Amino acid sequence: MIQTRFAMVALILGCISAPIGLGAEPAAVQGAEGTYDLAWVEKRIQELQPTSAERRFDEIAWAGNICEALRLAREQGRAVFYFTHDGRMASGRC
Amino acid sequence: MRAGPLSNEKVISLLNGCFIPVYASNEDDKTCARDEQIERQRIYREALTARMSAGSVCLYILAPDGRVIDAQTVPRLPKVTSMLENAIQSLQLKPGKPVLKPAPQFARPKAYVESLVLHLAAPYEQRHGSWHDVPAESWIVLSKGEWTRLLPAGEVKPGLSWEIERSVTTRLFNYFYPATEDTFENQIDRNSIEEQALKATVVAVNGPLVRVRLDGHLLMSRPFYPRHPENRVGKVDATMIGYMEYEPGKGIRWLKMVSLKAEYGDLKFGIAVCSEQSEEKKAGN
Repeated sequence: MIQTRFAMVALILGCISAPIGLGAEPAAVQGAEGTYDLAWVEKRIQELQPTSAERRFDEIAWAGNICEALRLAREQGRAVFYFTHDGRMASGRC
Repeated sequence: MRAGPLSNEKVISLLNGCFIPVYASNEDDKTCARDEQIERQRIYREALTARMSAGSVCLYILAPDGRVIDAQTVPRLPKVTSMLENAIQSLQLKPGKPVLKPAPQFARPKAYVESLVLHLAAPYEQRHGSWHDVPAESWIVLSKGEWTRLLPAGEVKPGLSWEIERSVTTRLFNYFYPATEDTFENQIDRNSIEEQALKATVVAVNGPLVRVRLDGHLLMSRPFYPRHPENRVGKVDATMIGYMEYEPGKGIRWLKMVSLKAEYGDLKFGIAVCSEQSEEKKAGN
């Protein structure tokens, strides 16, 4: 089944574009969007990262835990903003 | 909350200027330090005693002396803004510079120097609306014993190919899903991998360095909600391509992989995996 899927993917994507040889440029796969070479993979990795707008949460000066926050609040005369949640907000898995 | 109030310019400014902001996952309630457990319980009970809205997903405002002065479960932007402004007024807080330095909240985990640390991002194609607002991310840390199983044994020459063993692909692919409702980190216990394959092919040997192309496929069931019965369980159906470079006898220099196609049920999403070196290794290079 998996072998069949690979065969289908290979068929869809086309064939290995560069000759394989010692010291040769890495072979890349041809597809509908062009060549799926390392440069394409690196570009897609960048496109799929959280954007600065999606990371605005990182602009907040978070304390590490509630005890540190309470200590700093006492020392600095500030209020504490304390948010509790399920999962992990920082990874977007919540 | 992260994509809403916590991305709002005014809220960020008020938090940094007048508050000590902190967030906590309920997952850590019983495993965090004892003094922290005591404070978490104290705040929750104090809010309930004062007949405030308190629960698992909840915003509390505490006075500088630690008293709970306001609380609200699942607050939206207008409510968060009014809670902050009310606190500033009632406590006569004076705006100033942030007390702490803002820092990336999903930083690379500490790991043994010989580990292969991979960052994964998995955004939905439509990057807005509820779980689509923020790309899901994971850190996957492979021990030396695990990443060495990505590499072939014996003589290496271009064209050599091999299948990566399932124990290693399972370690990787279990995190290849977009944001779903999760009650704890890396909640992979409800995944059921139906098909998985990762083929490696040597595409070049340049001096001591070997470059390898990776071609992968995954079919994995994953209910959207934890511990909820679902009539139609979502499936991840993904095809991946990537490259890695390694030096025989030394280790993997880098590994990069993306999805050519990835669907979760009817929704499209992307997968991006990239190795990240430790600061010590970066400095050493």
